[in-house]
Amino acid sequence: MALRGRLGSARVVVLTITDDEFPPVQQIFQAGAQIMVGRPYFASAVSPSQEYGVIIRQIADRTNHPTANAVGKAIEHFRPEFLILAGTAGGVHGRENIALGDVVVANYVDYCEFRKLLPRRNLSRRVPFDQPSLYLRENFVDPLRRRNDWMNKIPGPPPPAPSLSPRWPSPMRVLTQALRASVGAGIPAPLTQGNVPKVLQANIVSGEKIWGDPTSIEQRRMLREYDKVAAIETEAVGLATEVFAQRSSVHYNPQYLVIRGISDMVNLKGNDPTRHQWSGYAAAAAAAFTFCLVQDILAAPAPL
Amino acid sequence: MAISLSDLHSELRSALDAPPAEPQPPFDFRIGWCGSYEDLFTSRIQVRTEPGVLFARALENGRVLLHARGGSAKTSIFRRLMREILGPRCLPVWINLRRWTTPDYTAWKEYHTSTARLNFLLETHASPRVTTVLLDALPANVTRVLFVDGLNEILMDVAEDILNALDSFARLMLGGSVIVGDRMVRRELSDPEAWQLATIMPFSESEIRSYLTRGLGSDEMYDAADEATRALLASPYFLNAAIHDGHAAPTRSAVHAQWFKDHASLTTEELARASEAAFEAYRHNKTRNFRLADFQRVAGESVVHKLLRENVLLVTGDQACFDHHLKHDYLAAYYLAQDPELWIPATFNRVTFWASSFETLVMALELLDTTAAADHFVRRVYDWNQYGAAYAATEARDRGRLRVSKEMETVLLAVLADRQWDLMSATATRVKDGLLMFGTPESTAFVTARSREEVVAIVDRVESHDPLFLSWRALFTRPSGEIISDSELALIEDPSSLVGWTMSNTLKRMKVPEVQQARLRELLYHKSMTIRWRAVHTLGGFPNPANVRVLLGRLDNDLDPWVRYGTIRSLLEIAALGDSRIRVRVFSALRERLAKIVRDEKTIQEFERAIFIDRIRAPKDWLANALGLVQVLRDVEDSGKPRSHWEELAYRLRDTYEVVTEAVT
Repeated sequence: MALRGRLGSARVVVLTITDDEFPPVQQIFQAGAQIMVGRPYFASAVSPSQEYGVIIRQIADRTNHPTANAVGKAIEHFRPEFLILAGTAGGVHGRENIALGDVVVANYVDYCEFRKLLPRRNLSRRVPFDQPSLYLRENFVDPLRRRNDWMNKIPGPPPPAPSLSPRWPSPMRVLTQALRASVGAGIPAPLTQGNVPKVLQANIVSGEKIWGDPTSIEQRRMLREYDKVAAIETEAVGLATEVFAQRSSVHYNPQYLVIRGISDMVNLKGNDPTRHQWSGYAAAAAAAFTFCLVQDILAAPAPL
Repeated sequence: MAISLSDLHSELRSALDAPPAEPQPPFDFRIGWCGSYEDLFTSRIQVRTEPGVLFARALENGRVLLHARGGSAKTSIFRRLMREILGPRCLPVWINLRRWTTPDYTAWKEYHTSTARLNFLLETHASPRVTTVLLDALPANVTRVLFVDGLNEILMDVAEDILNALDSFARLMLGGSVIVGDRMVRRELSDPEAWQLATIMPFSESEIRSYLTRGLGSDEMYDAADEATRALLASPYFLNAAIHDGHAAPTRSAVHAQWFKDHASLTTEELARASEAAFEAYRHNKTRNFRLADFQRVAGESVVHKLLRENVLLVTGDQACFDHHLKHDYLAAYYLAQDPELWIPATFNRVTFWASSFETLVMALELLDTTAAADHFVRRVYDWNQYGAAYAATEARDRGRLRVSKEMETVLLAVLADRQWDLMSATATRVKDGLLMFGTPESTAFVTARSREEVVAIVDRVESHDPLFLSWRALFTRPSGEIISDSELALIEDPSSLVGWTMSNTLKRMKVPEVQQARLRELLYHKSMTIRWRAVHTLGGFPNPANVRVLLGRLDNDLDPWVRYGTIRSLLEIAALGDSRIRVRVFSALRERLAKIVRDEKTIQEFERAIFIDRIRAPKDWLANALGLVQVLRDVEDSGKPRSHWEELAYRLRDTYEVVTEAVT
């Protein structure tokens, strides 16, 4: 039996953050109906019984704290079974063969901001939060990403590939790449892969800063420390922390996913113009994958 | 262990059946709903409803705060509502904070998470006694509503902890909602939009007449009453007393005096002993509860016997409390009014629960015989708390007129009104709230003034020959930017708080040359903490390295918490008023000291308030500097508060300043 919140029930709540992210999600879900005046939730139509398959909302501000607040409210209002954060993120060029426009589904979320600073030492500290749902990844994400039909839902072609040079295009860099190639380490993937985005299940790191300076000592330290991370963003831990807090009832078992289209590469120069150019497409790719995923979830048997 | 819902219902019913009894004839209450605290304090009511809507809105929004003055029948409404909603799909839980005892404050410090704090409340002060685990284990379709009665009985900082814990309950507990009863005070809510604000409507003339007719057979009492008495009859507590006593009185203290004489049959000598015992109960406890044996030792057996006979004293184990806190307040006020030696900050802190509840001061003021005595009392209160003095002065009346002199009322209101434009947003908000809530024509004139010049004009219009008032007015109305003589500067050390603090504030508007600032810096080492505090306060208006250096020294070394409190304010004021170099210097110095500051309770509390300066006057780099400090607090271990607390503060800073300063991410 679906649980009810203060405003009704919903099986899935899809959350977005920026103005680039919300329109493609709203469009693909055809969620034009605000379900109640004064509330930020949209659905395809207002339900007289306040029972919804999927509801979407845009969170007012970036970063983890407002995200946690918005997730808490969504849960209080609808008690959804599943929460999906859909939007864009910065990729880490050279990892997981990632390219612009690809969709990363987080299989692990890390938080990079909690530190203990000591003389000549910078130690990470942990805060507890939930990890992305294994149930959703195994039963819905994996099959869908192998079908590829979700790509048909992306409304247009990707933008032209940016003419960017990788970090440090120096003779040393060229030599390093040649050496890596010679020992079979491979050369980093191209920035784009034509018109075919792919779906990766990979580690995401979440913080409170928008990383985009390849020369930043702090960013380079962070990327060294989180050496398996493929994408970086600023809201996943807000979602994960709130889901962790909400798992305090024997009646309620919320599960979540983070789905991010790659809009830029944080470790490449010119990251900002790339983000401006690619955000729309990356958001549309994430929205398309999220839409197909939600269709599959809703088609599966609901709890009795 | 299986506990059935019906067992829990039975336990609640027993608690609801216990005294005190409902008013007879039963009153019909109306609830007024407000969109903001400003609306609440100015009685701008959006909609009026039946009390049952409290429950409906709690279900829809999760959180309702019912603000009303003492004697407005919050408890009666809660008790009635709990009886109505109790059923197979609803469990009301009554958390009665009037049971709060002194040891509870010590215990509270041991609990740091919302769940632990809720469990403490539920296991210690709730009917039925439950835990969060038990509430969660109820069927999913059962509504769990916490009725939290008497938040005003608790010290401010703990009350705000409780509100945060209740907010978590509404957020996390399936089917969980909270309805909280509180006095008329603005609370710092972590998510203000989530809370519905309500108040209890005073009775109208026709309602009062109707109840008097039903209770006494006629409404002649209303016809015979003066304006002050009629105003008091609009309060359920005092209307109920009038119906049962058969007569009304124009002041709170007169009502209670009559009650203790007529109903409890206390002789004058017994009243004196009862009042001393009531006063001592406040002095030795931070709560409305006390050990009955201690009370009896001072009051005597006969007094206790009479109070028990009339169900005025409610006893649980070895603890007791009065059936209504206003009776306890009256007795304490009776004792306080007799002895000017008691008019000191330590006493005022005790009888007001550290400036949480001012009814005892109001009634003490009412009990004073002369205007001169009333002015003297209020001046002593002012030495302790400006807001408390203004509240008592505007509430306490004698035959419809203010108990204090016109001059004293003007001083108190003008000093508050002047701070409407304080750089620190929290101070500006608090004084505006106070002036709005007093609701007198005089306070309204001050709060609607658009500038300091208009406040000065109001003060100038007061006709007076009182030399103290005239000397105060000369200081207060002095135009900004003038140079003060050395003899005038010395007034900052004046034994009178009115003069000393007015000088401290006036100096901040004046040209104070370096030689006079050096004199003020010397005062930071004065043996009197009050003088040090005033000097610290003044120096906040003068941003320069020498002042920063000595203020940091006081922050590090002053033994008095109020001086350190004033110092953190002044350092932030200097950072706001000074150039970017001064600002960097202040913020760097504070950053180095954060590990110590977080352990200094008053200082860190004031830091969290004072970091929010008027956004229009905030320098462009204010957000970046402020966030730098808050992020250090967030990321240090052992900051004394959870990370989420500092994240929320950082978010509020961004929310406040990001548009103005534009560029900080």
